[in-house]
Amino acid sequence: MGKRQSAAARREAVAGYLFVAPSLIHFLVFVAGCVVFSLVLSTMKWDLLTPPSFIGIRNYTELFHDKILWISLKNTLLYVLFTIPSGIALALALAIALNNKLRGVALFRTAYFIPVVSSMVAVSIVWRWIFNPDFGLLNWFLGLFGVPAVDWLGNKSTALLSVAIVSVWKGLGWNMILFLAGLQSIPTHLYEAAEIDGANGWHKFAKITWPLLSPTTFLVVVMAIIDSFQVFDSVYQMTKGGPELSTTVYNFYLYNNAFRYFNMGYASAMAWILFVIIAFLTWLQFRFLNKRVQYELG
Amino acid sequence: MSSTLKRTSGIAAILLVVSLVLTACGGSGGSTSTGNTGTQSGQQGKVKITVALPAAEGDVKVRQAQAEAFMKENPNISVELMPIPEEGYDEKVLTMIAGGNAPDIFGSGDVVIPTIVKKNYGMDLKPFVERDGYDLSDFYPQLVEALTYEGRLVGVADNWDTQVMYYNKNLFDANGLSYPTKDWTWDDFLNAARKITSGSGQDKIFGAIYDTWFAPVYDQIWSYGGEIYSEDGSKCLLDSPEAIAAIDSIQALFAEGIAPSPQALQGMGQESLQLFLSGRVGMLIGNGRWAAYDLLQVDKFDWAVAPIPKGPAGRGNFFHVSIFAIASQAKNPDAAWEFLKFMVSPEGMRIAVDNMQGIPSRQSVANHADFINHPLIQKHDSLQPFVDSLPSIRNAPYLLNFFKYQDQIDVALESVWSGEKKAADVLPAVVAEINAELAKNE
Repeated sequence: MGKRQSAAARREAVAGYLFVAPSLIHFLVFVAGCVVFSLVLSTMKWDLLTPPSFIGIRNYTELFHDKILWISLKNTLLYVLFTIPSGIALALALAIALNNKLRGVALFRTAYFIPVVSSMVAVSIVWRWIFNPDFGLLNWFLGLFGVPAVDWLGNKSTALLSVAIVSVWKGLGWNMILFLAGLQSIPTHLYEAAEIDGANGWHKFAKITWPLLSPTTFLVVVMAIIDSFQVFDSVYQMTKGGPELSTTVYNFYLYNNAFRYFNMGYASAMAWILFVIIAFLTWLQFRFLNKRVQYELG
Repeated sequence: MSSTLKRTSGIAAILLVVSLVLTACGGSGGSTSTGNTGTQSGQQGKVKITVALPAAEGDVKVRQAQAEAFMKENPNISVELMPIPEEGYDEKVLTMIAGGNAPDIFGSGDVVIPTIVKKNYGMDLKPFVERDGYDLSDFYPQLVEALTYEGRLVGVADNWDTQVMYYNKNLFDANGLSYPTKDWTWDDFLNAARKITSGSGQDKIFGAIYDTWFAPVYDQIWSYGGEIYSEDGSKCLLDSPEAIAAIDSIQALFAEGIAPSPQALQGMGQESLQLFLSGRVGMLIGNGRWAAYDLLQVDKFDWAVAPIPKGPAGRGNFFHVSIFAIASQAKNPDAAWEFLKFMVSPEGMRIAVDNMQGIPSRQSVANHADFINHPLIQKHDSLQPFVDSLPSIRNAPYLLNFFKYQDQIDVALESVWSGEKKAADVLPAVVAEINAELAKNE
């Protein structure tokens, strides 16, 4: 009896392993293997063509003295500041609005989600047109109120902000969906009870929605910060890091080192520094924000 | 959001792993078989060669026509073109080569020549030339010199190009100015630009446009007697008084308003060529012969070509060379060499001649009626000014990591073009940085 059971269990185990095998193999080969390889590479000087040579921690010490690296780090932090609070507040507001039983709510939800599934290249081309100083939609619109034309992407004081606006717009739908899911898991009887007690809209938000949404908010914040630190393609498409390095974010400089200057070891070292920064920030968030998260429903 | 980078670096990493594996296992498969003519690739089997080239529309068409004509003559060789988007072209070719997936032939640009040699990813073509007793004397000698680096013939080219000045004849006529000549100086240029400049806002007519990418900036530095790098490439010399004076002279154009600064152009949402095409610009500096094809569509005004003006130390003309080279890891180097020879043969060039970006590299073709009768030359004088510029031709600085240093220079100069800073204030710091890096790489 026991023997038969264990045979069945074994069969089940084999089936289980087979099911996870595709993604596990994919992970080992295409993620874990490459991650380990990049750590090795970060101690080497390698231009792709000639054999790599071991240089110890020199890439890391050089990074420390690299002026552009510090500028890129500052730009990345600014970008995170531009995108995170505004992006999350907007997504939450949208989610709350679209959580109502409106006519055509599915249409709105789809509309806000479309940017998420659009290619960043296409999105960038459209936004470059919107930002065009001469015939762009944005300047035309602001012109109606007498605001003089701004060269959004060409001016070093507005370029990073403009890229951030595009990212917020593109990521809005994703965060909105997460918030919507969170909102819909809040039991309606809580609101009904609050209404009977005479709570107004703000009270309901502050006392019910916000606290019960905190696990979602936590998830969204952590994910969004990780994502923001890795911004690349919008910059590559829209500004190429300019004007005057004002949009040279960390990953753009990393890309330049790897694929423009062919300094693979240096770029790998940069990737590991970024990993440490993001890991540390995420740890901080788990340590301090997670305590404020309420998981259980009253 | 960052999926592209993740994907790119993922792919790169795979390529790296794969390439390591491949080099470990296949180290003996090296292809240094310059001696035997394509026999290794079989009896009746077709030899296939692949050609990586930038996906510029006109050029791909020309190469396709050349490939077809070549295959007709050489039925045992098939040529497959691999057009690659121009943006990120060099990166893509390098990763292909590093990934053990090298094309037999690849197109490349002038500033990449030292990398090809120093990193040894292109073959020396001299042994082929010697083996076949191939005659190079019909080619412009300046071109052969530019294609030779550290004693190696890096590639072949079917055309050459340099910086010239395009001018709007109508604006010259309207202002009673005589057309630019090959003896024009910077002062002649300034006088004409000032006369032509008029109006303001949306209707402003600019005397000139001076593009600020590296080639026209180098030209100006050379014409002031400055240098960008020392001859051995060990030092950046952009902080010399001559170089600074040259940069100042370009900045002055923008400050005076006779030419729009790059920031002003961007503020108008215009590319320089577009603005010239709209008829609002007297003279355009910053292009080679490639721009002539865009200008052919203009019917609003008449235009022609002149050499760029001379500076206090004469003229300097950035020599644009697009080469085709054979990859060191080419599977069929001999067949590749046959195709290269065809591309630059009089017959192969005649196929290309109607779309030839620059001047045909063979003097016999450049002086042939097929080329000379083209409207670009008959109507717009786009041959002689190039030939007139040949004596002052300057090769691209031959140094590794060209773009790394140029990126730093460009960033610094942006604040000069905008008028925010002076060249003398920003260049010394950049030069110091670049020199420190150059010293490290020695």
